[in-house]
Amino acid sequence: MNDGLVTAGAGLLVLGLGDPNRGDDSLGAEVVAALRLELPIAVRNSVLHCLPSSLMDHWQGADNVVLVDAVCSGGEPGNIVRFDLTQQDFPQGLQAVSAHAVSVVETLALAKVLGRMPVRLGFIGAECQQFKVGHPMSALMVDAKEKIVAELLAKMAINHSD
Amino acid sequence: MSEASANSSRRIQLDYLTRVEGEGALSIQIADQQISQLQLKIFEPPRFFEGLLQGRDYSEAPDVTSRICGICPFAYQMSSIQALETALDVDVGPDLSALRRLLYCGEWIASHTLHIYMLHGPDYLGYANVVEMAKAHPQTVTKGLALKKAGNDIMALIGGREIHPINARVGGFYRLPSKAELDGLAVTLKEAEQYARDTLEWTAGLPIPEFQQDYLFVALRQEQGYPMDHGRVVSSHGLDIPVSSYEQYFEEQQVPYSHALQAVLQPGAHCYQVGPLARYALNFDRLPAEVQRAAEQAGLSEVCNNPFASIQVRAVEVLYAVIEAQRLINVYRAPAQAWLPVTAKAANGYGATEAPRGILYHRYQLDQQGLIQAANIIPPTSQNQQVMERDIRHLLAPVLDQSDEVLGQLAERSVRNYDPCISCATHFLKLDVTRE
Repeated sequence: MNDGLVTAGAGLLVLGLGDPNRGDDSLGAEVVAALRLELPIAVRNSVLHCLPSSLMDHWQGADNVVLVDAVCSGGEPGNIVRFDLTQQDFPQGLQAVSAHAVSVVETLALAKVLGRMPVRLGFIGAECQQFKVGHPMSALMVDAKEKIVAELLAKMAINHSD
Repeated sequence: MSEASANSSRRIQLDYLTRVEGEGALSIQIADQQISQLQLKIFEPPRFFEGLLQGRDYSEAPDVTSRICGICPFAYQMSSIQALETALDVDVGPDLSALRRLLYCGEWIASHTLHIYMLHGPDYLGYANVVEMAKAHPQTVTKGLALKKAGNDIMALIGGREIHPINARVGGFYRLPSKAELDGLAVTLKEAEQYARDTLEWTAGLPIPEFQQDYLFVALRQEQGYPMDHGRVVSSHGLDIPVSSYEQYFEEQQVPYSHALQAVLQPGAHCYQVGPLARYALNFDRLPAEVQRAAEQAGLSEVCNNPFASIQVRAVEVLYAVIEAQRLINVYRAPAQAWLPVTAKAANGYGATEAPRGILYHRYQLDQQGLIQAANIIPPTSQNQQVMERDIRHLLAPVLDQSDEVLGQLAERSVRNYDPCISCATHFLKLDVTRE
């Protein structure tokens, strides 16, 4: 599935979402932390963990953005999902996990209404198994995280070598 | 959503409260045209933070407790730091204190603005959510987002990052901002001041339902300035106590239907209110003259007893926070050192600050090594639970003949008047550990 990431042009901005204290919901934060350990200092600030309500602030001026978050649709736990959010809305029946009032889906809808979508916006996530407070990510989610980190590192290497 | 029986009883069940932080529900039972039972249910998983802190070094408490909430993390840091510095006899002095207050201003701006525009505002204009409101009022929402970003910018600079800031510590900060960084922030805040004035003007034009209530307000009060980062605990009924006496007067009680404890004021188990309306009513004289004038021009008197006007009071507090942040930057003197050395000892410490939603109380008991033996945290939402339930009862009582849908919408609006952070209110499962 196309994730909407085009490798040519400006560098990739990675925005991780989710609560780092709630089991599999910490996927976005964990991916961001892992990427920041691997990336050179010069591009480390292009990888951030943030709240959904701040997404528009962070991607302002960025052309090529990817969101990372856990999703919950009843699918196979750990299954990696990718969407091109420039071309499609968030699929119905699938929601990014959020304990807070302003969700990713609502923020994306707001950005479209206000004309504040980035040129390219991709999404990569994984199906959650549990998001219990104080619990670590499940083993299947850890596997998914490692695959996502490897994939994003590869994309960022291409982007930042342009 | 609704069940009806032959003897004219109805039950209205809102299974998921929308546009509030966290997960909660509301159950209302009506019999013979009267509300026989009303329960605000908080069913987000209980959080174990107080138990989690036991045995940990005191220095971990600010960062651990800040994880309780993504919307008001610095309030948790500040209340815990204040409690621990009181316990360990640390006085950071005026310069570091001013920097902390600046960071607190950022949290108020970001949290209040999020609530005003994205959660609460759509109620007044009949929109289902901010997306629908933005379709009709794109410039208004855009200004609101810019104002919120100014708050986030303060959090990012002084707090180290906007979500779960990491720069504050017992004794001071890990890193001080540079003059150039603060100058850049001042430019942002100057622009934000106009957005804050526009926000107050916008809220002044909203149709506010008439609903005056008789409240027992509780807030902090400082010797100077509007309460934010410290103060004595005062009430509209004459209470005036130091923070160290908090638990002698405020008692948490369990209710069978909610994971969160409910606080009452003793003696008499009084229901009370904390938050913007309480702060404003008990501290109007502490606002700068220009903010008082702006409030009056918006139609507010010195005391506001209408919870639906809380959106206007929040807008007053945003304007205050933007002006106060600029003042703090203007008078900023770089502290001689980022933090003061701290020596652990066995002691008890108490702290209370004004989170955007109201008083947030922390207590810690430390042993000689500075390890936490006991902790108690009372967030504002648990203190406001009873008053939220009471408001809904009073609001619905005269209109019980309306449809379930109408009653449900009114009840949800009433809950949103308090900007409840249900995530914060549910960390209270008391854990007793016996070791042999």
